[in-house]
Amino acid sequence: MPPSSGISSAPPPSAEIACGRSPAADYCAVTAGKLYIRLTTTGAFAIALVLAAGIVAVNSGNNLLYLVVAGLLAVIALSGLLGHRNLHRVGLRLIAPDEAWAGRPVSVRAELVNRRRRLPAFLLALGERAGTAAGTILEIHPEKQAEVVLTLTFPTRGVQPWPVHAVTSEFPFGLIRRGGLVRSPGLCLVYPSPLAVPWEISEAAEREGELMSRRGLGVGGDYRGQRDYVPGDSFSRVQWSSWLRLRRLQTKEFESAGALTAVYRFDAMPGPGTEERLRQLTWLVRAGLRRGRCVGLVLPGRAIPPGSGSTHRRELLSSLARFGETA
Amino acid sequence: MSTRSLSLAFAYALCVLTTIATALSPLPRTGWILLATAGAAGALWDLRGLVRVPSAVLTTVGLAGFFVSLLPLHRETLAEQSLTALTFLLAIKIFDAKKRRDHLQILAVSLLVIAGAASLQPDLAFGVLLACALVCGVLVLLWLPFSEEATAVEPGLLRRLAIIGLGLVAASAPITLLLFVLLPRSVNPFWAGLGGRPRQGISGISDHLQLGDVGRVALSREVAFRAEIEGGGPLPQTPYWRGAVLEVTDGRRWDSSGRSRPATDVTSGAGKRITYFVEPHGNRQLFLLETPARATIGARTQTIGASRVLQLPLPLARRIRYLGESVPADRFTELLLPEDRALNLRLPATLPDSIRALAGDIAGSEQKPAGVAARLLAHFSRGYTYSLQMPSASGDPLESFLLGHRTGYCEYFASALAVMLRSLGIPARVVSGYLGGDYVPAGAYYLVTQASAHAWVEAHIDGAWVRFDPTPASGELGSTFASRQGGRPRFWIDTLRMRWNSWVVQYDAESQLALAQSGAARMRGARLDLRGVVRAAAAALGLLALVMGAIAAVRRGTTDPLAKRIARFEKLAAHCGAAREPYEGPLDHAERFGRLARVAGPAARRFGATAAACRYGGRPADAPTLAELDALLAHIRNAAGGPFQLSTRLEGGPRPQGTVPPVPGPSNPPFPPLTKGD
Repeated sequence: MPPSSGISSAPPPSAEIACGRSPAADYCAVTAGKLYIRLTTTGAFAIALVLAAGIVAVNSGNNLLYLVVAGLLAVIALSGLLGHRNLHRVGLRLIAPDEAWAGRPVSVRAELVNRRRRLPAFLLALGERAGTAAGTILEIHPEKQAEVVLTLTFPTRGVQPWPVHAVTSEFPFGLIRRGGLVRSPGLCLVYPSPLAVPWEISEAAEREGELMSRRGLGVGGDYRGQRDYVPGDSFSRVQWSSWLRLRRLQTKEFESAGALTAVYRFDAMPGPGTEERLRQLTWLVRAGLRRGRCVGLVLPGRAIPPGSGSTHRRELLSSLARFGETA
Repeated sequence: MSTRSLSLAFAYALCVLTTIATALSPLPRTGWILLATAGAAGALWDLRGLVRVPSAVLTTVGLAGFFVSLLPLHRETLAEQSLTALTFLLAIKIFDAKKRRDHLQILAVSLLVIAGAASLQPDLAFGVLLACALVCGVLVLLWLPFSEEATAVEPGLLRRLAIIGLGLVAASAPITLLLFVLLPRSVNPFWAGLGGRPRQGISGISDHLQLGDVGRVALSREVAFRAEIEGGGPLPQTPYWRGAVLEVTDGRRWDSSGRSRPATDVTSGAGKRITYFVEPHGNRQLFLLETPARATIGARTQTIGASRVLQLPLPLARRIRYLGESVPADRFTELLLPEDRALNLRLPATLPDSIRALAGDIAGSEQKPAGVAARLLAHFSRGYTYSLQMPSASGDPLESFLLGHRTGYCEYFASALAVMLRSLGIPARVVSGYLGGDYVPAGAYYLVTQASAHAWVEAHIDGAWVRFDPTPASGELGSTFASRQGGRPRFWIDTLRMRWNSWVVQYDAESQLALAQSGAARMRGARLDLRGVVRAAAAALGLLALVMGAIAAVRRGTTDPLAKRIARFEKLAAHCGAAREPYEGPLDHAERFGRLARVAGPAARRFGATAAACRYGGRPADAPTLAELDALLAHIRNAAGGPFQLSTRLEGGPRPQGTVPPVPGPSNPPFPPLTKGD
């Protein structure tokens, strides 16, 4: 499945789209796009009340009623301005989770930011669409932010933009719900959803991987061969005799005595489709690393040497997530 | 305090306001008793958290009360019935459980009840109540969305919401006034008659006068009308406010003849233009200062008839404002037609001969009508007493008054004189109206209460109707409002009422039209005065500069001369790209600034050292020190404006990391670019 077109056209630096905290994450202003304005039930009731009072005032000529109607209209008009200002310089930022898997719900921290210097922002609701609120924040002080935890589910793998969220507010009177549909800046890398592989296939893949793989360089293992000396090599590894034969120094190399390595091949996966193979590879990578193996990957057009550690794990999963992405 | 308690407090504040409004209005007393009882019971229920009456029961009772209040429906009492029904609903709602929806309903119904009560009696008190209800309503509306989300009241949030609410109300005041002026008015409001039943019996002045009528209202404190005199100032003489001319009598009662014909000689001369604001009194009579020449009600000029009175076609049920022009005089020329003469000479059939005899005795040998009238008038100043305590008497009331107890109200005196004049062949009639009133300097108007109700006599002598007032000490009547009702403070309150009535209650389609015409006329007559425009612009700019200076001073938060100079230094450094970092002390900052600003470096360092010595070292920040700091600042500024530039900028050298803040620009905007949403 191809990744989204937005990513392919302008691929962001890998550091920025990596899962986890994005250092270049920014805010998306609520008022930057198309504004959403809807009358609430209370608002409709209030408008009906003002209209009724206005009709009675005109037909009765009662100036006190005129005064009431004028006061209500003025307050409603000003409340509209106040509500609009309440969203001014308010933005949304989503903070990427450590790991997100396609098709699985993930908790994402959303920060609503008030960039105004003096005025607080009130009654901000954040939801997937206007009218639904995953969380409501009563007040955000000037130049502060507040956090809401959202549960998101990404349907597909790959580098994906954040889904659109609605930031709305009914401030001040709850008569009008206004806000904007915003997409948090930044991208989220979604790993393929792991798909378990039958044990036999897993064993075979591991065996094949072992055959293909070699232990890494290190100490304590078998003799691996020799290469030309480069400054910095330990003198204890120098093959002094090569000087006599080759008139140049060579250094002996040994295999590491550490963990076993496993290299998983894309072609070895049962599939049947590409996505299933990627999901199976994801499952194998997670299982292999969990069992303490050094895991490598061979994908069409790309091979990742075995390794371990969280950085390597992220690299493996990222390459699986971004498989098929055009440069 | 919990959020629920605060919401309840708002609900009960509205309830109290509504109860006061209902108690002040002419609604049935059951209205406010019901509200007060329901409020107290509801508060007790809320406080104790007792088990509530089931909603179904309350709804049934509420609907039953609502329909019982409305049925049977009468056109005259439709407004009162509707308000009573709303009061009933509000009482049930106050008693009921209170969620957000209930609070909104309480707010809406409260506003409707107060506005409705105000429409029945549009007094200043209702205006105040209405304003309080609106403020309370705004605070309720502001608070309710928060009450659903929060569990406890944060004092800071509450304070900020209160400030926002009050600020919103204050900001909406001018818009409210503008809308009030501009909202379209109907010339003939369709439901004008639904503002409650016309009030009866408030005024002592009508188209008839029963002996004793004026005495009944003489103790009343009700305001009859207010008369605002154009140009201000009290009238030189005690004013007689003309109400009704009564020509037909049976000895006990005087009635209007009902005849109406145009005046034959309209009074001319330097007239007083007076605007009258008459309270509703349920009669057709309006009042004009003697002697009226013209009157205008709204846009219509009214015809002043031969009797020089002004009458409405229908009883007055609402406050009315009209303009009258009068020439203060105690006589006016008017041709007396033969049928009028006959009418004004007609005596009661049962008039005792003793009264005729008494009149003859008093007139004596005097033949001239003016002399006869003067003698009769003088008679009443001897041995007659004005009193509101009438002794009981039997027989003909006039005979008892003239020949018996000699004590009576003004209508006894007027009636007796008119009858005696007629018995001597002089056409005479009784005029009822008001005498005097209290002049209110603050508002330049006369306040006339029912206590000033009066009756006097007009006799047709030498082709003119001449006023005779036989009541002893009549000049002292009427001017009693201040002494009876609390002195000058009451005048101030009444001035407010007067303005409220004239500017708010009686603003109608005609006022709107007049205002528009006046504005258009001013616009047409206005010429562009360049000097005035320049002066106004200069004044506006000066004011703006003052305001901005004040704001800047407040923002700087200091008037300390040393702090001001340090702030200037830091501003200069920031301008040059060496803004002071939060962690930097003044010496460090000056040192860094000095390093960057090579030419002015010593001056910058010296400024820093001097300022730090004054601020922290105990060195006094006296005039010479401040002058030295000023000189250093000037030196740095000159260097910055001239060949001096920061070395890093001139030479393009590397910026010290973490010391100089990044310069805002396209690549480094002060506010990170915001992504456009969908």
